[in-house]
Amino acid sequence: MVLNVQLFLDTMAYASVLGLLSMSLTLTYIVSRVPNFAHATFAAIGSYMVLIVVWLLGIYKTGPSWGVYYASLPLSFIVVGAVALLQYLIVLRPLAKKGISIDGLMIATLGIDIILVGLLNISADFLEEIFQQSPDKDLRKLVTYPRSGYLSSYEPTIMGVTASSILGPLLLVVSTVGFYLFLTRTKFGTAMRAAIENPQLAETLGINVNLVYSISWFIAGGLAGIAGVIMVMTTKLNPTMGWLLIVSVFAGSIVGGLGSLFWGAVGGLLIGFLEQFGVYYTQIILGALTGETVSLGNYRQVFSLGAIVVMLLVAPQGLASLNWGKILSRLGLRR
Amino acid sequence: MAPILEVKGVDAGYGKLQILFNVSMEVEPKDIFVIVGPNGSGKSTLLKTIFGLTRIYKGSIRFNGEEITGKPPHDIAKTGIAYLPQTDNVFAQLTVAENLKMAAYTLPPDLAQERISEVLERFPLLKARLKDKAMTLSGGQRQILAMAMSLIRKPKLMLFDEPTAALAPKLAAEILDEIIKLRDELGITIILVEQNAKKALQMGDKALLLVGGRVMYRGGAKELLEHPELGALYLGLKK
Ligand SMILES: Nc1ncnc2c1ncn2[C@@H]1O[C@H](COP(=O)(O)OP(=O)(O)O)[C@@H](O)[C@H]1O
Ligand SMILES: [Mg+2]
Repeated sequence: MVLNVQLFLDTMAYASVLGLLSMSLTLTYIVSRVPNFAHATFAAIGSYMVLIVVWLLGIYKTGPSWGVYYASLPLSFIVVGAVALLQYLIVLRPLAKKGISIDGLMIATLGIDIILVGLLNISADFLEEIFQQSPDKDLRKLVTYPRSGYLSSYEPTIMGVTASSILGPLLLVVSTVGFYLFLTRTKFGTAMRAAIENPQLAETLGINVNLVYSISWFIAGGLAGIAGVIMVMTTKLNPTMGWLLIVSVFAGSIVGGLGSLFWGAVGGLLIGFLEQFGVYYTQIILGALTGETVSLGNYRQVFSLGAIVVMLLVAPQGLASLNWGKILSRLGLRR
Repeated sequence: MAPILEVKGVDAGYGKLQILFNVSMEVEPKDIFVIVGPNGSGKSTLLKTIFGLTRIYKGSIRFNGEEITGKPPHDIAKTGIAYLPQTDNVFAQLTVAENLKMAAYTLPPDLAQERISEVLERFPLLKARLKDKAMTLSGGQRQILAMAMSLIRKPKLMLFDEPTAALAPKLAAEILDEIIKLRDELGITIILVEQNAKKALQMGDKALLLVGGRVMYRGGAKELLEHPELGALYLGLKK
């Protein structure tokens, strides 16, 4: 009861999704100083790639398959990376060049979000149409999927555990460590840090700052796309699925301090656990008090909003700003 | 001798805000060319304009006979011009070694390593600090690092924007000596913006006086220093 294994496994997948999204959101924020409201919809686009893979690779006929991941992960990375890159090149950079304020750019990302959700709706209609008209009986069964599909029925299990519960955390760790090594050990990664700190100086040393920023947006979009692949295993596929997540993603980035990719990932992970377990234990407590079954799943954002408030009050610069050496020694964990 | 840098009738500024008006200048190879003028007269803007960091509305800039007007700065960097900004001229968050590596960004790896070793020979104090973040350096050390960074690509022309600002007088003199050495030993052409007009004009060959974004004087540096009115009027020099 107190240790619910299934809840823990579900949370591993969900929290890793938030970790990946908060980390990549932080990356775009560091590069362009714009809070990107379209970021969670980036993930939704990645989720749709899973449906497309299930369809095109015939996985709907064969049932659960690793092909779901082999194909969707690279596909989502590239497609969503391209979407993010286009957003930067076509909208944000030209507007920023014109001297539009950060507020203006932020509203622009809201506009992009609405456009992207519109495009997902169109794609969903289109897919429904294709599935409906298909002579393939099995494919016709997918007709409800574009708007309310549970794609987790096609993911494989590892020793009885759904793959996303293991793959999610693995992808989060690999991307965080990989990105850290990329930023600190490679010339291009160092150039990325240099261009972020002082774009003008970087330019005068021969670094093409626009190229560096473009690649950052592509990588951030790609990571959001990967997050979308895991995300769709934890929830229902729907064009607006990103909207349910964006508050939590921002909460993760803000708790992390909006300045460090590592702390962005940690922030997202913490928010994921806080929401899931917060809901679970509140349900138990309220259930015991009222003697009825309480369902609070729709209130999970109360916990992420609460975390934002507490973080801004206690340490406005986020977890990254805390003196961890001192905290650990206070707790007796380090001398 | 043909000028190494030719600025012709340039109007430039930031966005719609015009700062420079019809500025022309010619810099001869291996000269120390000094730009002086009151605060806010557009000296920094002129250097930035040469490096493609402002908007140019009119006029042309040629370096080594090649048109560089309108080129992006990262391409101008490859033509053999180096620029030391007045402030924020090193990456504070990167280590000294990483700063040097970034300065060698456009070079092939072997050559980059070789050039980094060369500048470390020239400025040995940096050797001991390679692993430290640049923000831990003192003001003078930062200026040395910035100079080392701009030398790595062996530029033919170096633009210095007030390299001695906020330095103690002794340090300032050392930096200026170093600049003279760059010209004398390495044959680098120098454009120097300096707040200490007297010192700068003494070490300079040619000079340009900028007031309100317009050229008020162009000619010999010593002549400007000895000019009956201009110095007293705009540079706080005693007659
Ligand atoms: N990035 C900028 N954007 C807008 N105006 C600027 C910018 N930098 C400088 N200026 C303005 O340009 C004018 C000249 O500045 P500057 O070239 O720095 O003068 P100086 O170096 O001679 O002191 C000043 O009025 C200054 O306010
Ligand atoms: Mg200046």
